[in-house]
Amino acid sequence: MRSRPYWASCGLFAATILLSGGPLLTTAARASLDLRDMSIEELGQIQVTSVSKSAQPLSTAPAAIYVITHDDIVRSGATSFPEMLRLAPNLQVAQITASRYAISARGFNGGAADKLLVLVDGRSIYTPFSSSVNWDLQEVPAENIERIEVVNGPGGTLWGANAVNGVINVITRASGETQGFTAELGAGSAEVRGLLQYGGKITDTLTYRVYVDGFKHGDENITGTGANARDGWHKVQGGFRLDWDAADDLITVQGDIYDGSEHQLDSRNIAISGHNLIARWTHALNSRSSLQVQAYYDHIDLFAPDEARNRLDTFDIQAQHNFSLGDHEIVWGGGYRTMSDEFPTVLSETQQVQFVPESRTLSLWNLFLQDSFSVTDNLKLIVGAKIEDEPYTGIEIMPNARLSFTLRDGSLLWAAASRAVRVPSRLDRDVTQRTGPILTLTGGNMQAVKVTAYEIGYRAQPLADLSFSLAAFYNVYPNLRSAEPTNNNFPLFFGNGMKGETYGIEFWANYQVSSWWRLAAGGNWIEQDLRFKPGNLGIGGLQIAGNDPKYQFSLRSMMDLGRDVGLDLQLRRVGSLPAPPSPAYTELGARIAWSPSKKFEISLTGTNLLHKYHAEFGTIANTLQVGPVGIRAKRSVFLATRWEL
Amino acid sequence: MSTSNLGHLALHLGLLACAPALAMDAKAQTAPLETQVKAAFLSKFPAYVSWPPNVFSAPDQPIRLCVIGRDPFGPLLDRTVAGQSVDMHPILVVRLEGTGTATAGQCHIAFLGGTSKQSTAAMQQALLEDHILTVTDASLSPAHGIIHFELKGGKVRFHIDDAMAARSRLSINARLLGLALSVRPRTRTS
Repeated sequence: MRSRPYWASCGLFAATILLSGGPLLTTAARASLDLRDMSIEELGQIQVTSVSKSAQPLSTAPAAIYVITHDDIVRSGATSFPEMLRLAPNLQVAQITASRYAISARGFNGGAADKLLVLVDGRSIYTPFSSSVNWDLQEVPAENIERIEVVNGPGGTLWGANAVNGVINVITRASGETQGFTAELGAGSAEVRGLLQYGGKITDTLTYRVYVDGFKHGDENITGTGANARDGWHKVQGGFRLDWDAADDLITVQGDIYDGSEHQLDSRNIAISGHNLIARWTHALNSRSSLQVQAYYDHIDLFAPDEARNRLDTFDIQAQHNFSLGDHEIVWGGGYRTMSDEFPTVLSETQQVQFVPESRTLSLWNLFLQDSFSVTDNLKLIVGAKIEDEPYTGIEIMPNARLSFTLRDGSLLWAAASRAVRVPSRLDRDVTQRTGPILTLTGGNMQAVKVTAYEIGYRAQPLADLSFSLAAFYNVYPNLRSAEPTNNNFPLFFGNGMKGETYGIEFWANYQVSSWWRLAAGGNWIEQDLRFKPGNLGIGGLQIAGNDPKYQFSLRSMMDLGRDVGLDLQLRRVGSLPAPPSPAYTELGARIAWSPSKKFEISLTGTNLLHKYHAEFGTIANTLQVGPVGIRAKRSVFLATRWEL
Repeated sequence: MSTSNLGHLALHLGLLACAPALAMDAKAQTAPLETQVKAAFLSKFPAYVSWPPNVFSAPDQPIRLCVIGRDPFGPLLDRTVAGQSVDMHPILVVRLEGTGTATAGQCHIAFLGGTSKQSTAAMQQALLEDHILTVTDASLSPAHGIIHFELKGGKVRFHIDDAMAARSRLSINARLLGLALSVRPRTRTS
């Protein structure tokens, strides 16, 4: 006897709608109707998450981790990494120009914010030139992002140097999940954008995808004085991914190539281009252990005609082994990276910066070990360390210890202590600058910036519909970067003459108001207590450390209106910035999408809707600022369509 | 009111009455792949489990798949089991707040989600020796039922406690035991 589902009594109409599947189905949800036809062996073979460095369920991870899901990204209408990262309440994201953003975690934000490590499928995207991330160079179509893991707190042990305040891990979807023809085309008040992608199968276990996308962003924003900011830009990018999924092995090869141009206020356009190739092999040794080897090559080229050209080649190879020993889960491994860059600059009356030497190859190797030990069923201890031989400063050790305790009601209490470093970059060590005949800035002997971080957190799901997470941190920085004079005179050089502590709280919560309405709230609060070491002249002031708001708060509402319509709102409130000064602001993003079938969707996205123009990073220069001066971003709308063929 | 208006109104009413079902489907639409795979496993487990002979009084008596406490599935589970049957027994999803009610004893499979009032471990203790296949999930609680879901290598896998199954007078098919990450074997005397 077939049992009749309770909703069948609604009539044939309702039953037809349900059986044909909803338009807001994610790629994963579309597969749910197919799972019932799979054998029980096949179910156990389905990849539901990527194999991360430490294979444990996210909800028990003893860290301040926030996961931005594929659906979060698509529903928000965000198309660039910085806009996607706004969805993480534990990150500070400030738009400087149309292509440049200041992004950091737990303070020290700036155009060249240097305390956050960012990886795309294991490929590091920070540049050793300034130990920061060129957000304009990196892009993954939202369509292909599986999730973005934002882990606050030092990630030195697993991820190495420069993960001082956090690690962002962008994970793309396997090609098997993006099959068929997909096209996206959209236009709006600020930009036009398009994507063409095809995913296919060579055999049942060998799948691939290829894509090409591009956008053009107009000169829509204005400077502090109201003139056109000339910060428009455009880029074309293409790439591929190949996945081979055999019984015990997973092999992935992926790569991208891109080319673009950025308008400048006072000079000629900057040409940006690059390409990368990653190969990754994961081998399951048995049900309790696996091996992973990954190698990648990355090339970037930034060319400001008549001024400078920065080319960087990175080659990286790393291996890790995960295995279990009784109640211990151990991961250990190592890697080697070499970065070769050229930075010739053209000296002129207005451009007096030069790198000495112009070209340099930096190499590093590392070894790490981490043990997760289940002391009891509810108490887990994670201890580990990474030892890395850094360019410029030699051997650095980054240890960490984490404790997590699962309470009787399933909630998690965790605490951690760790140490990480931010190694000096070419900008810190090799830069020289003249003003007229005087040498004003020269290469110095800056040492690695260290942090010792103490964190504690609590994560719970007190009701079936409500979950929240709270984390508090206290970071000690004994030797932050400063500018030092040579015998009380020019030239200046970078040293470690500042120190201090930062502390704060981060929280986020999710509430499923009803089956069709979800609310997400989040925020953070930071206090910084920085000072120059005794006897230090304090050149530039404490503001050279970074430009951070004391607090930040966001609220998101996600609604499924009926079967075909989704409405998303994101409200954010960011506190004022000290230097360059920027007033506190409140802004709203919204997106409404209509999808009458799973093969078509049309959406309207509004960005920065509350004010015609608003600034997020001030509109004047800061002392020792790297990068462009902030603009006032304009309100914009964007109409997008998505097709599946 | 003209005939066409009346017809239009009736259609609207039909839509409204169905709205809760449609709206609930939205939650199923956004369930992550991991949850869908677990729901699919739950719908397939009964085919690999033998209950003691007097548990089913009729050949087409439904297999009661209970979700006790936190429910990570929602209507996704109902959709997954809809139309499935094992040896003529259809699968029926029942949701309970705790093991205290009489109906808990009538479950054949119980997914233990735990609540703030009764932990997963307490639920599992309460249902021991009751010919109920208890299922737990490592991402919700470390307490183990007879089958315990755990993500390994990015895939949904499970541990089987065959000794606990023996105490509950359940027999688990060797094919399912062979797929498990680990099996605690039943002792010779059980």
